[in-house]
Amino acid sequence: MIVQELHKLQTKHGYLPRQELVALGERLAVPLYRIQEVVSFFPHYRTSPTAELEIHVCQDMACHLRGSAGVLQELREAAAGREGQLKICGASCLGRCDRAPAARIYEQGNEHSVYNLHRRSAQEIIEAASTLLSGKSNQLVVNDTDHAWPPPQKDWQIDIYASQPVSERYASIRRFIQAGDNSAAVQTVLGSLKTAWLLGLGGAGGRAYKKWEETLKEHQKRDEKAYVVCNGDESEPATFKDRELFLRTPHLVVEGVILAGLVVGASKGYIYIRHEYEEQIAAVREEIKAAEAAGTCGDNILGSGMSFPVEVFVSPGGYICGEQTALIEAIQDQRAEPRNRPPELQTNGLWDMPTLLSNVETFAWVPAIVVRDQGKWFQEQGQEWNQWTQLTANLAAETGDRGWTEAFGKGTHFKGRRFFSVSGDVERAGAYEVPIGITLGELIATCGGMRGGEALKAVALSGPSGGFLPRFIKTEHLSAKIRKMLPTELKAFDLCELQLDMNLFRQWGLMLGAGITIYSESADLVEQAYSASHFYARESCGKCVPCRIGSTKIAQVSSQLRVRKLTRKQIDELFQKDGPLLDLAGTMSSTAICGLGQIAANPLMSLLRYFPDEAYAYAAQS
Amino acid sequence: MADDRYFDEQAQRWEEEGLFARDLDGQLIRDVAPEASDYGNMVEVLIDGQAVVVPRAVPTTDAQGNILFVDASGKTIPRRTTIYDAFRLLCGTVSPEKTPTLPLIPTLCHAEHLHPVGVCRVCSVELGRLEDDPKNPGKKIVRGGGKLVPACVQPVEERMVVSTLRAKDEKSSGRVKSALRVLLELLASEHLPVSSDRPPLEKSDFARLVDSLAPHLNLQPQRLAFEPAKIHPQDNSSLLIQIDHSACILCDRCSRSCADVKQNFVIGRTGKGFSARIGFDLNDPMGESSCVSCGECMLNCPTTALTFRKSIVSEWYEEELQRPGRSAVTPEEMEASALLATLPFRYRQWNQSSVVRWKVKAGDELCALGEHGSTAFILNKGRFGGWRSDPRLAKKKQRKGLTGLLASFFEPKQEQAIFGPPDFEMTEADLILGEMTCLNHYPRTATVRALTDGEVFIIRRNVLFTLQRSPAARRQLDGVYRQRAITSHLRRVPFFAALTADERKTCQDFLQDRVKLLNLEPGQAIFRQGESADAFYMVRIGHVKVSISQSGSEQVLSYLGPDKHFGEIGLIADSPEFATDIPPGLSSRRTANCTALDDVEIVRIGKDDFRDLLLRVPTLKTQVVAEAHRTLARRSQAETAPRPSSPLLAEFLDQGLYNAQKLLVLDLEACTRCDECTKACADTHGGVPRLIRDGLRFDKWLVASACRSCTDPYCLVGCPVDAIHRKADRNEIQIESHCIGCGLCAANCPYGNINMHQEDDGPILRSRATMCDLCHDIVAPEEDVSCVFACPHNAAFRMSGAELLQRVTPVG
Ligand SMILES: Cc1cc2nc3c(=O)[nH]c(=O)nc-3n(C[C@H](O)[C@H](O)[C@H](O)COP(=O)(O)O)c2cc1C
Ligand code: SF4
Ligand code: SF4
Ligand code: SF4
Ligand code: FES
Ligand code: FES
Repeated sequence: MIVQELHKLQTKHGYLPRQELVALGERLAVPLYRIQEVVSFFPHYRTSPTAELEIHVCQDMACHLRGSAGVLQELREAAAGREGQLKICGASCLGRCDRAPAARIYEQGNEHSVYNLHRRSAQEIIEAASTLLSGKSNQLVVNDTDHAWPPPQKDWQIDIYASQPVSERYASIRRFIQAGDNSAAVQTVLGSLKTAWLLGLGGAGGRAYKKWEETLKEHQKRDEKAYVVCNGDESEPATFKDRELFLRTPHLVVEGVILAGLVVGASKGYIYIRHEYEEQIAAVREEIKAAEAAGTCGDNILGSGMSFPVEVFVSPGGYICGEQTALIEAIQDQRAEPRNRPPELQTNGLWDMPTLLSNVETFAWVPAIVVRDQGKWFQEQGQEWNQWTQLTANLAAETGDRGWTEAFGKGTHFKGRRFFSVSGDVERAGAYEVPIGITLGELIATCGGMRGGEALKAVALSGPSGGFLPRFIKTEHLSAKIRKMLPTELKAFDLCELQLDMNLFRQWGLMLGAGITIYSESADLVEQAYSASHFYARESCGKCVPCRIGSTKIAQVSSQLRVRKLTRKQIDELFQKDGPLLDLAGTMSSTAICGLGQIAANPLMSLLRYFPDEAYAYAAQS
Repeated sequence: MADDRYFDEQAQRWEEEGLFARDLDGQLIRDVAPEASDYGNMVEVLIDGQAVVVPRAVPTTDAQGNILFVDASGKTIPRRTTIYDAFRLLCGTVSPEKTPTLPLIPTLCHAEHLHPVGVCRVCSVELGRLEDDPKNPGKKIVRGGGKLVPACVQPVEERMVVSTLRAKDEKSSGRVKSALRVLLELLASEHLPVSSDRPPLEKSDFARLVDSLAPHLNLQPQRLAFEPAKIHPQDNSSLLIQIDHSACILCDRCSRSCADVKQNFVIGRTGKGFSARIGFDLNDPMGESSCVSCGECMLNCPTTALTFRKSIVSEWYEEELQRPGRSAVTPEEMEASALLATLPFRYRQWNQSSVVRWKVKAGDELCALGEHGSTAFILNKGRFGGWRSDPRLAKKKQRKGLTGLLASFFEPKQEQAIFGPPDFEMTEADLILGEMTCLNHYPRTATVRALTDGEVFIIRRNVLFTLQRSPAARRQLDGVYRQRAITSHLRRVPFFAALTADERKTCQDFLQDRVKLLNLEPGQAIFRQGESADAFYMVRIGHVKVSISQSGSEQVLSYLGPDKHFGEIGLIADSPEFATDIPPGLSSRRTANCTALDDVEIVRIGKDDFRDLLLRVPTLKTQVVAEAHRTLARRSQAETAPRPSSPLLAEFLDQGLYNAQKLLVLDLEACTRCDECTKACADTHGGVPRLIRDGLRFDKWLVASACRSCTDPYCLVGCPVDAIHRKADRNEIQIESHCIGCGLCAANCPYGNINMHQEDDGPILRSRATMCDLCHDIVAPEEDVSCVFACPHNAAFRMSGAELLQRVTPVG
């Protein structure tokens, strides 16, 4: 209750007055420190009144690339001396990377409205702010809603209901109930997910059917509660596909969540959405109402006696909330600090009960898989293997790699479709649904090619988490296993030829996420490494030492490099074998509690490894 | 430029499941509360190649290191055994810091009595799983090495292979070493003050760890000090504790101590990420928060973030130092005593005035039989003699009134002559004396005098209490305490009273290692009706309720106080050796429930040992058989014999009256509510009345809210500065002026008889505990206290609980 109550109080007062917090502590019978722990953790909460308008400007990947630092600078200058009226804040990725630079204006009066400003100049933002301050009608203020922005792709195959009347939706729920025999229906669903070989699309790419099965089994072992949680925190820079799925196909997400709830026998479902997604929150809430009206959600679903209510949980904010255990902590009114694992959520999840937590897209694919033809269509969607993949497959077969064999057997093509958020230097940035196994080159082509026809220099394939990779990656920088497999005369590998699939990437020792940022020759990667390193330092929850202190140290080095404080010699010393940076990065990755700390050094480390010349260009002269 | 390891291993780690997330069949392991059966469920773990077999669960201990019991059957609360526990077990009592061949796992955020949080990661070890080698049948391989896990969190599992920084395999130890090196460098570069304008206040545990590992790990914090450490403000608002936020490593030990150990719920984390700090309430200055200054956080802080500010000086200390042979002991000097050296430095500073050095001369008297006291004596040098009877006591009883008492106090010491040879002798090998009275608030059981010149440290109860937190000191003290407790108990209790000296010796020798000393919390069951009898019990401290369950409700039969025994009948009922002696109709099942009423310390003798004992000592056997006959006889007349009705007795126990020695009771039939008693109390106590003329009723009596002088006072337990204790002669509880107002005693008193009183000009803190002091400095022991004296209607009385019960039901 603390999180929701704080939300209400802040909406009412514009901030959280002390006496209200004291009263809240008494009302909920929790000690004051518990309230302080929550209030101070989420930057969204304020304990003192703020300016009339707060302008937040994204500082991350695509936005930084499109000059958000300059925009911030201009805004700060314009706001100088108007502290009571205007407050300018640098923000973490706002999930609008395809419309960079992204900004938001929060208005304190007027029910605390929010205005999105996408791909706007500092001048335009200042004008909007002045209009608001002058108290003139809101009509005059630009508000770049997500609804209004035209999608780059018209048809999504994920939406099997696209050309059908609304009443056709929730077919998987109807079938599940009508099957009568519950355990047979459960097996059908699990079988479909297995046939489809649907992988989790939010994190490490675990097999979806297995997670469902494990949660179900745990729940059966002890006849208590179980939960389904849909992870729509989506705060990783460069990632915004869930934003589009929520907005355009909320019914698919809700259907996937309800079916999961029925299969594992859960008592409640939560759809966790970042608070900056106001339109999406509204869309999902409306869709839940529609599902309830149709009898497919809530009490006594379709007269079956089974109940499964679904609720939107608005995130109090922060990238770390997307980490699965931190998200659970946030729902439990705690600081969103990741838990030590094991145990896993399938056994000890929300309120210590078996919990199925997956990404928005993982749930959204469920109707297309289950309703169409029990997974067969989906698994045939992937691309044929190209020569590099074939080589990798041979290698995997040789070494008896179980993961690979389980995934593909004797096959020669990838399985399924998925979404990528593409941002940066492409003609048409946006969220794209593509067959799995599309190469990087093909993906860029799908986005209309490189912006202004420039050459591709670098790519970030998992938001900032995997660091920056050069288009032509030297074979000496690939793992020994892959190097051996490639023709000896090959000195550099063209990443554009690499098929985008999580199984393949795992073999290559690379990270593939849902957010891809493309950098052309003109991009400044020192700036990018700087911005990404600061992102992690800003978003570290601070629970564990390696990340709390380490991420800040990495950010400090990136700042020094950027302001040309490091000599070439110092750069080399920092990065040499057994030098401080590799030791630090290695320790962060081996001892941090969660994925954030484990990869926080990647952007800087990849800059130094793959683009040393860019770093040297920033070297101090003596 | 760089080696590839970092990049090659990177992608594999991200978000992966832990190696031991699943069992050998690939099933996810659910984290459930362990059960007692897990104590016997053994797991073998390899730590640096050394096998150690550990149970899957170990008993939970409290902050004092005592095992927590659920009930007197010895049932404990299991908690999961972690890799760190296994490591401790492997190392036993030796210190791996000083033994370079043993595995070594350092810790910072972990403390055994706090639930592990795993935030500092310095206990990281490499973990692998021993598996069958698919290529070489019959051979084993270690899978998954390379993964680091926090040893303090990770529970032990079958086939774990653990490598610490001393592992032989250099790849493994290298990994752990490099991680530990960086972690300590990170912490030191931010949180170990090096600048001269902020000299470190003391060597903290953290600083010591860094010092001790620096040469082995080649620690160079400067290499990660890319920018100057962030300086956080200090908080000097608390009068007791000084906070240096810059030194805080965010180990969460203070917040866990505050909430879990002391249940004060004041400290938490505030802020996020690098700027996160500890905060009090709504991030208020400590001195303005709801902090009660109990000091627990400071004692647990491994850094200099929370340090002690101002020494507490008690009147006792000042008076003591005036006496011959006494002198102060500095925190540094305490290092010389093996016991005191185990106290955290900060604690020694804080409670410096709870320790006094006494260079004793032959003949000096350390303590006298029958006195109360809250001091114990650490024996540094010399020989000491003890007498279990004191000729002065008999004399004292004859004299009456204040003058007599004073005279006995100033009795000249020449009485040595009539003492005869001592009953026992002690030297520094016996470590300590007087600890029993100090801990359990019972009168001294012997008079002790120095036989030669020597030296002792006089310590107060808080010091003794805290000493038990160090496992080493606790082991020593426990051994001493148990042995003496059992010996003195066996000597004292009526159960053995009828024996000859020889027989008693037989009993003592036989029982010494066979009996168990158990500590129970209020409400814990000792046994339940219908269970089969498996032990004999003797109450040492506290009270036990005897009740039966009848048609769903509880009928209280009686209660048993100190020195009483119970449970023997069931033990002989079904024994063939006794079949001919005992009357038929006795059951080997328990006929009643026995439950601890307050904090009970009980001596337990198992069934077989008990039977053995009876066979060895026929007098005892005769006694028990006779008791059995009496019991049966009593049962048959149970209906006719007058005894307090069960509801009345239940009420008596519920109100805790059995424990009371000096109740203030008002006869409601005579009392006119004139409030003269309250006024008299206020008049004689600086305007602040120590009693409230209200409370529960017992029959026609009002039990007023004023200190009852409990036999086993709850309020004395845990006072961090030993400001509250029982004084001799009158049994009154007194609060000294150095009370820091932490409120613990008030919270501990179940009857609300201690009030926290706001005082603006107090020497240290805002509030102070006040309570009825039985007018100890106004009236003589035999005279009426002010409230009773003032009552114009003869309605107010002071009496014990037992006396009150007599008045209400005038039967035996
Ligand atoms: C710092 C951090 C942030 C994350 N953010 C998200 C997120 O916004 N959305 C998401 O689905 N998964 C996120 N994850 C991954 C989740 O922990 C989890 O693996 C995922 O939600 C599981 O869903 P899946 O099975 O569908 O892949 C994040 C992980 C980390 C370490
Ligand atoms: S790695 Fe970073 S974000 Fe993750 S738990 Fe540790 S401090 Fe928090
Ligand atoms: S103040 Fe001390 S005990 Fe508390 S978190 Fe900081 S270092 Fe740990
Ligand atoms: S006398 Fe009571 S209030 Fe005072 S310090 Fe001791 S326990 Fe705390
Ligand atoms: S909105 Fe700016 S990077 Fe995502
Ligand atoms: S001691 Fe284990 S993580 Fe701190």
